[in-house]
Amino acid sequence: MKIMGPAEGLVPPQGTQGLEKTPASRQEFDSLLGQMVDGVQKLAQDGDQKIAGSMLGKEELHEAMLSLEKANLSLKLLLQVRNKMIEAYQELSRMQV
Amino acid sequence: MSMFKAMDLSASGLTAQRQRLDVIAENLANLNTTRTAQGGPYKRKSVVMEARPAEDFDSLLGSPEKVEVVQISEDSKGLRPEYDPGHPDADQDGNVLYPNINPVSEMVHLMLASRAYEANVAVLRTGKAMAQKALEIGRG
Repeated sequence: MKIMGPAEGLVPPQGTQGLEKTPASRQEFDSLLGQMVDGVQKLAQDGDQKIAGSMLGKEELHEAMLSLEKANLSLKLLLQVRNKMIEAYQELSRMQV
Repeated sequence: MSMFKAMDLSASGLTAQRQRLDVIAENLANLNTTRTAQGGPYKRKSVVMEARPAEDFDSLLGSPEKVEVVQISEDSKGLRPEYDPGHPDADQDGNVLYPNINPVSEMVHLMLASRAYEANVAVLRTGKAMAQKALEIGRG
């Protein structure tokens, strides 16, 4: 019966409570990535609107092309960040234990 | 993002040159217009461009300035009188006032507007190429 009880001096595992303190950086990264995705989406929607506007003759043609270009570039940046993240993850998962 | 700063500045240049093209087109189209809503012949128009601080930018270089067409001015000097007594708009002496537009100088302005537009597009292209090069740092 004594074996079943917790050994003195040992702290029972606290589930995720202990883990929540450390991943402040992870959450930051999460929100950063989320912000980037939101930003890219906003730029893409902006591009759509500008294209529609230029078709209707409300917007300048170059403005439409520019917003598409902006969306394209920021998507590429997002992809690079994602690639780096996946790369780092794979690097870690290959680590010998 | 700061990488779009040059893009936005060039975009203002493109817009300004496009408006300049519009005005030149108007001038050339009205080369022989003798009647307008304000009365009298058509008068040559030209754009007035002004540097405006691009307020949403705040950088080490201070506030960059974009360009904007603030005014389209009319020039009423140098209207061409031409003797044409049969014309309905002729005065008592038989002279008709024609617009003060010189097609040659308008064509030169047209070329200048086109070249300035191209220059802004070149800046845009370079900015894009630089951004792409920066993204290539992470590759490979």
